[in-house]
Amino acid sequence: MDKQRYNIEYAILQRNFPGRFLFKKKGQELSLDMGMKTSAGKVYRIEIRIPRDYPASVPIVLLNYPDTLRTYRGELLADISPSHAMHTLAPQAGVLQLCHYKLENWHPNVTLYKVALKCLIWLEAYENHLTTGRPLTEYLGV
Amino acid sequence: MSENDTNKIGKELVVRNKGEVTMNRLEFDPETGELVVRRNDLPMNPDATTVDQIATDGFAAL
Repeated sequence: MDKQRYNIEYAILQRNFPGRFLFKKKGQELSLDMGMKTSAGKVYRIEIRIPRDYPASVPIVLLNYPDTLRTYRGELLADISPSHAMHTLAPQAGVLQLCHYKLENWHPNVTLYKVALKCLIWLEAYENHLTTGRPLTEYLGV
Repeated sequence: MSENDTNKIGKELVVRNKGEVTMNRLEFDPETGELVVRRNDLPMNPDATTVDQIATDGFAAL
């Protein structure tokens, strides 16, 4: 991500998620840690891994906190992933990977802020799943 | 901030997923950092972002 794009991303996040995000650089790898809170008051932490050619390519999103999520039935979500019904991709080193933008809907104007909103919607859908047992596809589409 | 709010958001997501009409909109409130359901006839908080489009433009699928 070039400096100009970084500045834009930072400004949007600062306006909408003040104090709830942190860019991290490890070698050449850039990631964004974000704290998210659902309407039920539960707290999650996601890591958005930003590819070197971002925004041309789609970032991947991992759920770093809590360590594990369970389904309505009590299964570990990471164990049944990738899952179409639960909108998860293959875990990365055991860490749950969330679905967000479809490749066909991704374009370079999509910002990390919008990815974060997508993940917040995912989390709200997940918490509804925990009470209703309905798959996430009923909330987020197929 | 309650389970009731979670249910409201869930119902709105299901309605949108079915393509049905709703009297409400989904907003992200940057003051609280949370999603909220608001009636369409209520004025929008100028700092809020409507997430209806983001919610309905699909999630990656396998």
